[in-house]
Amino acid sequence: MTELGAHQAAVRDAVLEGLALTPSVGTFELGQLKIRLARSLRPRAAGQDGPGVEIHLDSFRLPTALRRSETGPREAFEWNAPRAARSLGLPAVATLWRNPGVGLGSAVEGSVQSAVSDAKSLGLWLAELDSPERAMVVAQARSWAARAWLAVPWSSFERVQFRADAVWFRPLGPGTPMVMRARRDATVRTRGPRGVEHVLVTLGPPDPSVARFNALVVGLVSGRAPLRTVVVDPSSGSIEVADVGADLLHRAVEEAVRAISWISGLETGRSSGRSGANTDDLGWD
Amino acid sequence: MKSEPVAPSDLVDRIRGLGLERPQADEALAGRVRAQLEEAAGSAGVDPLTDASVRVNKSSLRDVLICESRLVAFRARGSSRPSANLLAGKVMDLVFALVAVGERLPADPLATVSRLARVAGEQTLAAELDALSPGERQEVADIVTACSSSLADRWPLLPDSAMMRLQEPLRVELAGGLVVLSGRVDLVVGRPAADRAGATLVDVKSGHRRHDDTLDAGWYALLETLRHRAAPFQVGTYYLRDGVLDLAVVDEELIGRAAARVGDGIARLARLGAGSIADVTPNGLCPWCPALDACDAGRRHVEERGIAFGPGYDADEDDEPPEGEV
Repeated sequence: MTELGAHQAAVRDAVLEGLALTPSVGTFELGQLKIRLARSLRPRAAGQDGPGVEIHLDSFRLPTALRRSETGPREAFEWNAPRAARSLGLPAVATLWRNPGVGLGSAVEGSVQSAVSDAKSLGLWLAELDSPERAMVVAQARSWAARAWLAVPWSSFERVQFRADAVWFRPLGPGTPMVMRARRDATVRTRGPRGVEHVLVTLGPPDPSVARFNALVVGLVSGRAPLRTVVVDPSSGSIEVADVGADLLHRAVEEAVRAISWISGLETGRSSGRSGANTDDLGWD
Repeated sequence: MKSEPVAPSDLVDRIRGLGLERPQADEALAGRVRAQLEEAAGSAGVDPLTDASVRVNKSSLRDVLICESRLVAFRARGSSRPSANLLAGKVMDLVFALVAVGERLPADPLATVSRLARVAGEQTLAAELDALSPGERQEVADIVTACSSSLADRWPLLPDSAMMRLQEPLRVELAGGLVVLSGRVDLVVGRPAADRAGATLVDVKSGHRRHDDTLDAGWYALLETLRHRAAPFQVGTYYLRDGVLDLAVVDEELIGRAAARVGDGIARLARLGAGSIADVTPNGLCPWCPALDACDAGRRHVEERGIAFGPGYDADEDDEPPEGEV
């Protein structure tokens, strides 16, 4: 194994050291969490006005919703280089991990070409750019990818799955208006006695509530709680580690309910001192 | 210190540090420096109950160490319209990014830069450029032309192995977040290694050479040391106007000087943030200080040095004192 610098070694240890072999929250408990989450949110959903009104809670919106600092509906999303940087940079990091001989520039260019070929929102936007504008996007994506590649010693891990897309979870079931969207840049996979277990690795500023949220959503969707979440902030070098247990997921449920209740009040134009959600029934039996 | 433009191939070698001995990676140094600054931050007496952290960046550090009263005066005046120098510098950040990834520059970069700024997520810059009068626009254009005309010929395409990062954000929290050091360095290449210093940090400047530039380099070296637990290999400045690259190998002395400077700055900024009376330190920038009219020490300093009072100077962080002044 290539010797690591001090910070990279600290990140590797944060991911692997003292890691449990199996999740401390089992499948049954995850199911119970799912039930409690739905039960707490259903009263709020019953008050939603009109068809097509969706409440989205993601890792960007969660902190402001918990602080109750949002002042109104969000602006429509528009692509720009900083927003595209991760969507293009992370697949490039995945390419570098799979194919060490591929250079950073080629990896990012491959991401761009792939996005254009997919012809989804990002690809359509990229296709409209002229050469200098696309070069600006490439410059930021390359920087993001280099930053991400150096922040974590990816080559130290045998199995890594990189995912730029969000994990979607509808707590009230398919077709219902509330959506929780988690982000995990990568999942480090380890083999436990009962199968493949995973550690969520995210790049960005530390926020314990966001880490809890991501662990909850990923666990509910996959039916298997992650062992640990690790958040590495390239700009500061900070490393935030949380082993995923019942308390953590319980708290994540509480925070999600609070945040969704607040957002739903904003989205429907009603401000209320009460969340409208049943937050009493959140304890374990 | 080399003062001649550097040919592209030589520039790659200089950035790689070819022929230079890389210092050993010293995690203990990073630990000592962090401890020193944590002590400075703890001693600064920032009140956690006020929920107002002390934010230190390159400009506030420089300004508070030049003269506290000047810093307070500028803050009281509030932000003015950005100067041509400042706007040109921001435009050159975008232009440099294009050159760094091998893109051909448009014949007239300023004509397309508003659109580029929007793509780059720099909406404020785009708006500021759109609001320029024809005369102001020409002033910015002249600086951009001077800086960019030879850039594409001088700046090399760095190899993939350089792991080039542009506009690299650097952030360090001390005292549990009560003191925040933050910066953004134009270019970082290389990587921290296990046994030897690895990264090179370059501040790309569109202005003329200033004494403060080496202090800025030390600031970035310090932030890098704290965030990666190891000092970088080299740090310095690339001057767009003449293609000169000034780099210094980072050693313990450089980091120590930077840490002492930052510690002093933290103490001063914390004191000012708590409402203490600002110290007055007459200096070469007094003629352009918004507080000059009410500052006896400043006026005496200006008179003693025989500098004529002129119309108010629109001072900002990119002020360039006359040659030889500090």
